[in-house]
Amino acid sequence: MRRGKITPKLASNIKINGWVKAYDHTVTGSAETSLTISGLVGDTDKEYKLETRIVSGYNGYVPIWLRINNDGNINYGRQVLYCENTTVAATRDSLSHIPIGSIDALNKILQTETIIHAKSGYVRAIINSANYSVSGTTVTGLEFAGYSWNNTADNITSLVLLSETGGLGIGSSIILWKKVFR
Amino acid sequence: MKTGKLESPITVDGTMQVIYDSGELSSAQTSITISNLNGDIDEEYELIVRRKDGGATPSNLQLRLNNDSDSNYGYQQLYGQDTTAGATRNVTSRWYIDVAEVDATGALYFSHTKIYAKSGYIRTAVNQQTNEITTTTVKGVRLLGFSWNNTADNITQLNVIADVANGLGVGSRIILLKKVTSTSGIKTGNLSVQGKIYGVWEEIYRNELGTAATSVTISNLAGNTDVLYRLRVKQVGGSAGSQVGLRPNNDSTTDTYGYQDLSGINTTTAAERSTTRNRMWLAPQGSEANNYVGLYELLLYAKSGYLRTALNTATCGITATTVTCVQLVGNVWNETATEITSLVVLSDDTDGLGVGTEIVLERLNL
Repeated sequence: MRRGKITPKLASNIKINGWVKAYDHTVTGSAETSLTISGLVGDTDKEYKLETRIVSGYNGYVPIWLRINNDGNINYGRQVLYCENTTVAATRDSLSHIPIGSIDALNKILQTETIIHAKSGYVRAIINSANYSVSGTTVTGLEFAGYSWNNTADNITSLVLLSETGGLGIGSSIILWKKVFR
Repeated sequence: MKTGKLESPITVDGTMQVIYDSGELSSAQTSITISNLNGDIDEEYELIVRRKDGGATPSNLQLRLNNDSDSNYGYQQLYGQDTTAGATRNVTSRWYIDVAEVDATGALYFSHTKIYAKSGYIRTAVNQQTNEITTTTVKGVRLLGFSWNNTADNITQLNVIADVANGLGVGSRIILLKKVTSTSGIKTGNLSVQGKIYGVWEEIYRNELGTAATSVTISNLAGNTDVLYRLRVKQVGGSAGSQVGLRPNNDSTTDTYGYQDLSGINTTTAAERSTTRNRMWLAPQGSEANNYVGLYELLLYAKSGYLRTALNTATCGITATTVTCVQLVGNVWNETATEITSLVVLSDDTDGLGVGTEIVLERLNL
């Protein structure tokens, strides 16, 4: 059967055994400091892919953090491999958030992709890549990291992005993909 | 409402969908232009390229936006080449989406690039590539961040250009997906598609282990029709220490596989190459102890006719708030003739795929 364009009214309306856009937000009007993607059902969706293109609205260094279910306790682990110019380095630590990337000045850009294995029962595993503090023809750094969320029990119902005041500047784009099954 | 398969031409709002597929080239080309794009509407592109170098000398593959050939592009890269882990930053007149690492002609290259296309701001992209692959040798693996210093122009074309004539050799294939955002077209309420939808990644296998296993076989595949697979494994370690591998068609022949990896383990960065393996390794530098977790994602060009190449990311050795390693790996299966009809996910330790291990396979519907 062939058809032209199909426009499902809501992401959950189309079941394709694949990835469907569940959230799509572009910051307009004024910069934001945080945003919450709610109404998630991690144990049903099983996997998420979060894509961001952040334009910094903060005049200074701003980290962009992700918290699962807004858990702000030191329940996240990180192993990161990163580079700036000709320097390569790696770090391992425990944190109260997932730092998906950072931007070191106003109007610079961060692009990230975060794969989240969401289903409960085990520690949640996450892979993140980031292209950060981009301005003009300068890409300041690149990082590639694995994260854990040390929570085996809770269904994931929300994802929270946090920054310094106004860090999610005008033009920032946040998209969440989820799996939708027949 | 249920429906059967949705064939091309079809666009489905809220998906990433194929809008260009060169097919495997039957004659060598130096460049390919993908035109009639609307970056401001599409916003995101995903470019997958499997290249067979057809040039007289080894070539790199460039990507230009709107054929802009001025020094308006920047990159930062992280690479692993044999035992060297390194990084560089530069300003150029193009993005290098794959790179000749050393000196082999006729090699294979495999890359994945995610582009944020909407104007108003500098355009950025993240690229993973595995390069100069011959028999069981993978010469390099790279992660790059790109910028295009143009905030104003709508992207209407992508130009894929080899820097040596005929660098896009016979067998090369270029696939472009876009994010579909549509307010026009046929609206539908609940729609459950029972068959294939052209151009989207479809999950065709999912298995969560209720009993520990040493291997799991995904059967009834048609690799020559399917072309591209994406495998995601969340391993829960089921033994004292196990690593996960992948065997197409359960080929266990010694010295038939190779890899190049780049890793970060605690504060150590490293790179390693091997040419004498009997499987693809999803995380060559990591293993899972009992109940430790690893997450691996692998993109595989499955179609026969050429070496089978794979690009994968891995994070492993996870327990509580400790993450032991992160890796980027280029893998090769030195077998060009046989269609892939199965994929075997296997542990190197008995019952290493512990209870709770999840194995997911997706196919790009072409």
